[in-house]
Amino acid sequence: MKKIIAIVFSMGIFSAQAQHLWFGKISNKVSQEPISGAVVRFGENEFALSDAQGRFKIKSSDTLITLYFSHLGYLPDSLVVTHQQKGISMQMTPAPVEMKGANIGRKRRSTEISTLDSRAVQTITTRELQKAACCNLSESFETSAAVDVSLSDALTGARRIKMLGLDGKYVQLLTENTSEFRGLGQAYGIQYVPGHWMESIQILKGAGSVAQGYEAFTGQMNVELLKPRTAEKFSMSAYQSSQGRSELTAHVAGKVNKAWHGLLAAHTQQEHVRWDMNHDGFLDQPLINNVNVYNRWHWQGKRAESQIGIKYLRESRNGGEVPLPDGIIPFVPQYFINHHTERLYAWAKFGILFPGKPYKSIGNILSSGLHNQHSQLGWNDYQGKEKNLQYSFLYQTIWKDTRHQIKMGANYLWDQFDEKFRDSSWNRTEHVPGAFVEWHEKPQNLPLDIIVGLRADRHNLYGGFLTPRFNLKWNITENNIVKLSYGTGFRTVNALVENIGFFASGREWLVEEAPLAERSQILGGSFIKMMDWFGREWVLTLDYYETHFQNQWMVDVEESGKLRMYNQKSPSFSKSFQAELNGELFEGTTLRLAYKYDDPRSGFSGGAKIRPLVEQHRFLANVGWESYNGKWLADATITHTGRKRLPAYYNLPQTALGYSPGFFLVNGQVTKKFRHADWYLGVENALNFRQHHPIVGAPVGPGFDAAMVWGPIMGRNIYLGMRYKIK
Amino acid sequence: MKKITLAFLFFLGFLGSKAQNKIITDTISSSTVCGTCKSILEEGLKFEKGVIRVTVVPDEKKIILKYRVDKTDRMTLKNKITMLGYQADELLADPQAFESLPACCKKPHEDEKH
Repeated sequence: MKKIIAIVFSMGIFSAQAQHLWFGKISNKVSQEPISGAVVRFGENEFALSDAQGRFKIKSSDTLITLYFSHLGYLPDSLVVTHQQKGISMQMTPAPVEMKGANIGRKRRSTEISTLDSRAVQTITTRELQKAACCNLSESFETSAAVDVSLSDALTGARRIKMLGLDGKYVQLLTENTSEFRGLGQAYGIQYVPGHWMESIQILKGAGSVAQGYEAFTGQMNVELLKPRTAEKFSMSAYQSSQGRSELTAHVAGKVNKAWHGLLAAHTQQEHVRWDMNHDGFLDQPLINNVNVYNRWHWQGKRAESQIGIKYLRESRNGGEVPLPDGIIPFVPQYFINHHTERLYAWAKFGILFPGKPYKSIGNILSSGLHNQHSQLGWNDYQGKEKNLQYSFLYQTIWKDTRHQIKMGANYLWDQFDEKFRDSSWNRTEHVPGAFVEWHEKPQNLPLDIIVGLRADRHNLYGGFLTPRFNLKWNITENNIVKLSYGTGFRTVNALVENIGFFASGREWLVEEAPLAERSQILGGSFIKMMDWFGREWVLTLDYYETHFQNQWMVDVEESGKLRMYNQKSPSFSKSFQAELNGELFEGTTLRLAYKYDDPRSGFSGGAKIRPLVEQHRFLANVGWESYNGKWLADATITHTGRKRLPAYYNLPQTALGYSPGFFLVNGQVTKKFRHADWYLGVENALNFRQHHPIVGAPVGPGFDAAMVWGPIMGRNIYLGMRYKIK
Repeated sequence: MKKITLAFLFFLGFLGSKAQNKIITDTISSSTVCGTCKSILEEGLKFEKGVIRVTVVPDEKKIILKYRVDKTDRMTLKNKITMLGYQADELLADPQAFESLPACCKKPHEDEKH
C-alpha cells in the first residue's frame, strides 16, 4: 500500500515538474480595453479562453510554445514564448471589416435593465414572458420584483398591480406608446392584453417622457404587441389549467405586397368550472367568457410609413353564490355577480421620414376608444360608458448634431364619461389640449446624459397646469451608473370604477366631497453596478423613489360598514426601496434575487396610516435554467410577501392584531422546445397557500365584505400549454 | 465473488461501449463567417433528428455536432447544412438557400484574406 502511495506521489511530482505555467493578458491595441472570450491555441489540440479582464492561463509540458490568438472582430495573431517568460501581453488589432464584431453570440438576458437609456427602464422580453406561461399582462410579473399583483376582491377575480407601493392606476399603461387603457378601461386593462400577443414589456420607474402625457405618477408601462413585419407567419397556442381555465390564441401575419404587411390575431379565455374550495357558499373565482380580436396593418413607403389597427374585446364574468339546484327557492335572493364589458379601440399612426436624415421625423397618432360596461354585484348596479378621442403630433430633430436632440409636439384629448351607480349618475366630459418640448443632451466630454422636458396642458374642468420632467444618467465608470429622475403627475379620478372591488361589499358609499384632480411629485434614482464574478457578469441594481401627493383621492375603509371618499386630509406619500441582483451562476443557469421595501402612507381624515392591504416587505428569488442549445428550459420562483395591514376592526382566523400573515408562493415551469412547437408544464402556488375566509358577513347587511383580500384564494394550480408556430 | 465482479465489469464495459457507439462528437468544416451564421446554423440544426448539441465556431469555420449515430449520420447532417446555405466539407451550399442568407453571411472569401 505504501508503495502505491509513493508511486502516486512521485507521479504527482514528476508531472508537476514537467508542467510550465504561463499567465497573460489580451487587450485591444487601439482602445487598450481587455478582450474577453478570445481563444488562445497552443500545441496540438489545447486551448484557453480569456476571461472578462482579458486574462488567461496556460499549462504545458513544453519549454517553448507558439500561441495563436483569435477572436471575432480581431485580426488573428501569434506569439512564441519560452518557459522563463511568465507575463504574456498580447495586443490584438481590431479587424477592419466593421460588421464582423456585430453579432457576437452574447445571450440576451430575459430581463434587461438598460444601461443606455437615461431612464430607469426594465425590459421584459418574450423569453421572460414565456416563464409566466399564462395568460395575460396581469400575470406577466411573476418573476419581476418591481411590479406586484394581487386580487382586487374575492368575487370578480380581477387583478390589480402595484408599483412603488401604489396602485396600478398611478402607472401609466401604454400599448405601443398610445394610451389604450385610460379612464374606465384602466381598472381591468391589464387583463385585456393576452400574453401571446405581447412582444415585450418596458417598465419605467420614476418620471417618464412628457411626450406620452401627464398621467404617469410612479412610472410607465409600455407593452409592445405582435407586429405584422416581425411576427411569425402563423402561431397557435393552447393552455389548460387544473382549475378549469382554458385559453386559445392564434394569429396569422404576412406580407400582402411590397408595401403592405398585415396581422390578424384572436384570443379567447374560458372558465366554466364552479369552485368553492373553502365551502363558504361563494364561488372562489367567477366563470369567465372572454373573446379578444386584433387586426393591424403596416404600410411602408419611401418617405412615409403608416400603421392602422383595431381591437375588439367582449368579456363576461359571472360569480357570487353557488347557485342552488333547480326547484329550490331560497329564503333571501342569492347574491350573484354579472359583469359585462365590451371595448372597441382603433388607432392610426402616420410618420414622415427624411431619407438620409434618420434623426429627423414627423409623427401623428390618432386613436379612439369605446368602453361599455355593466356590472351587477348583488344590489350594486353599475353602468359605465366612455368614448374618447386622442390625437398627438410629434416632431423630432437635432440641433447642430446628434448630441442635442429635440422632441416637440402637441396633443389633444377628448374624453366623455357617462356612469350610473345605484340611483345617482356621474357624467363628465374632458377636453385637454396640450403641448410639450423635450431636450435630450449628451455633453461631449462628460459621461452624462440629460433629458429635460416640459409640457403645458389645459384641462376644461381643472384648469391649466405644467408638467416638468427631468432625467439624468451619469456613468461614473464603465461599470457604475447612476440615474436620477424628477417629475410631476396629474390625473382625474374615476371614483367608481377604480374601486370596483368594493362593489362586492355591503358598505355604505359616502362621497364626502367632489373629487379634485390628483397631483404628485416623484423624486428618485437608481444605482446600477455591473460586476465580474468568476468570469460572469452580474448586475446589482439599487432603487429608491419617493412619491409625494399634493392631492390624492382617498378611499377610506377604516370604519366597518362604511366606504368614505374624500380628498386627502393629511400628507399622502410612498417611499420605496428595491435591491436586485441578476447574474449567471453557471453556463445557462441564471439567478435573480430581489428585495423590496415599500412605505405607502395614506392621508386619511384621522391622520396618515399605512395603506391597507399593501405588503411592506417582499422578497423574490428566481432560478432559470436553459440547456445548451435551448431545447429545454426550466424556471422556479419563490416569493415571500410580508404582512399587510388590515383595517382595525378585522379579526379573522389566520390574521392577528390587524395584520395578515406573510406567506410564500412557489411557481415553477418546464418547457421543451421542438422545431415548431413548445410544450410547457407548470405549477403555480405549489405550496397550496390560501386565504381561507376572504368573504366576511352575509350578503345582506352592511357587514358584508369581499374586498379584504390579502392572499391567493385559489390553491395549487397545475397547467399544461402548447405554442405552435411557423416562421 | 470473482465471477460477479467480472460480470459486473463486463456489464459496465458493455454499457460504456454501447453509449460510446450511440453518441459521437463530429466536426464538419463549413463556410460560416459571423455571429449571424452561427445562429442560423445552430437554430437550423438543433432540432434535426438525433442531434444533441450544436456549436458553431465561426472563427475556425467549424461546426461541432454531437449526435446519435442510430438516428442520423454525418452525410445527412452535411446535406442539411448545405440546405441552410452553407458549405459542408466538400459539399457546396444550395444556391437558392445561399441567396436568401443575410448579406454578412454571403462573404466567405473576404474572411480568408488574412
